[in-house]
Amino acid sequence: MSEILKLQNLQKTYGTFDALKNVSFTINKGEIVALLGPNGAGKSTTMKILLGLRHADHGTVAVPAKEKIGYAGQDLSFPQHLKTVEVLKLVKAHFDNSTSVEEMVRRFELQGFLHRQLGGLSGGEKRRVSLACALMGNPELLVLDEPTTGLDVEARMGLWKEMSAFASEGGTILVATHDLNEVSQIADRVIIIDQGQVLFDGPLEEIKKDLDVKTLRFKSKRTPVSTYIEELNSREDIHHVLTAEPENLLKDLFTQDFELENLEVTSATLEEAFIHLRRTQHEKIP
Amino acid sequence: MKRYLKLLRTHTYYQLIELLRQPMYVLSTLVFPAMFFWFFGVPNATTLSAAKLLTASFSCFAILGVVLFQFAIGIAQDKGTPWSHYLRILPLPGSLSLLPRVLNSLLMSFAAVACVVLVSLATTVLTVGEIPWVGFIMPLLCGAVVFSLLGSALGYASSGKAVIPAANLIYLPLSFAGGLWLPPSALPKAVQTISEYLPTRFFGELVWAGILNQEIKASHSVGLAVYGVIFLITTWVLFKKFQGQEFR
Repeated sequence: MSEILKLQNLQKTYGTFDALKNVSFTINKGEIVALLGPNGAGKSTTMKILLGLRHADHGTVAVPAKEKIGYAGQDLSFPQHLKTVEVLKLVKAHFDNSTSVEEMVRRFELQGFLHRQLGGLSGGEKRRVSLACALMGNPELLVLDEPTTGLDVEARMGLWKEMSAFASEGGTILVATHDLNEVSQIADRVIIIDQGQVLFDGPLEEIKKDLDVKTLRFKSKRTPVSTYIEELNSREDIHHVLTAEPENLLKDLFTQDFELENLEVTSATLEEAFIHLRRTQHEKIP
Repeated sequence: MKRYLKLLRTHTYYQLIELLRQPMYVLSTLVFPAMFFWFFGVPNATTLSAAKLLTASFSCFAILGVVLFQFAIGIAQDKGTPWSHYLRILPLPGSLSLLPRVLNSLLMSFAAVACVVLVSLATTVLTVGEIPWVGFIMPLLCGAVVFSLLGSALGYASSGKAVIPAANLIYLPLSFAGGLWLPPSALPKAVQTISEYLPTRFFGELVWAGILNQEIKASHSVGLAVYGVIFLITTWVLFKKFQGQEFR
């Protein structure tokens, strides 16, 4: 597969704050890649650099021409007094190889507010307009920043259906999101950024498989204490423990004469794996 | 070139639509200078010369208001918004982020001047044939350019919330002290001294000379041009500073 986007050794500092320390990744044509990370991790800075809204202090960026990039941002600030149909026509004018306004109206179900001014639309309606604008120029690379914020369940499903259709026709998607469950439904690959560094880059299933994190759920009147516990959530006498070494944890607890009942050992959820990954990777990276 | 013109037309059109859908903007831009002229200019326009001078003064006032507010408020409120960032991501030539605003401000400026002239034609002794159109319009155009630069500088220097009071602080004193509401000779003594060095006074002098078919004094042209250069440099410095902060 050929590369459509390549970031190499990106570094960016704001004053004394290192927003990006050394970020490198490549995206191939046809991939759906999720960029994950907590607030302030460096996702937005990475996105802004690849969109040309920021300059990296060091490193190189290779992206397609502007005509081949579609973008839907997190903030929805359209000109308040323009109507939906007008902003679609305005965006369409920038592309030679554009989809028709009628087609976008149909695909994103914009008929109900096509002739209403954008200042009066709901967040969900604006989000749909934003996505229609992003696809208007028939882009090769679609960059989405938190695209489902403000959408109801049905609209979210509709959005991912559109994105899947776009990818199945050879389109490439880079999506920044917090929603791990959505990512698990659509992404081929996940890039996790935290504190300005790439912590993980690979297929989603590898996070859970490679890390082999387990969740232990049990009942006990005592709160468990062990160096093998990574995350502990206790509610009255029910405890949820996240650990990478369940056997050692249990051995440790038994040596403490720890009494427990109803022990269940399950694979960690994606969120739990993410927490584990952040902790362990930061210990490894200097 | 064809694509450039298409984008210029599209952006200018939608920006104009946006402006026209704001009744307060239309009212204050088009109606206010003409109304002001009707209340304070017409009663004093008893002779042809007076009618010409007052029409020219309030035309300058109309131009000043449109370009100053349109550039200052437009730039201050648009800069740094997600929409302005989105436009940067689109395949849009850089000059097209400013040129539609220039064209629309010229259009609205001359619509505002047209309202003043229409009121003058309807209520004073002035007739269409008495107006030397080229001599009247050309200095107005020059002034529009100079004060659009002042508006731009103000827009880059102010926040979206501070820009309206800041623009009023410049607009009203400059109009008054420049002799656009009252003849310079009728201004208070202290103001008369300052007035001679103000850009609005140079602007007024050029338009007054133009409408009276008199020779334009070089000092007035140079004075306005010097202000134009100062405003241009200030705008450029503030623009680069903003770019440096926003897209560093």
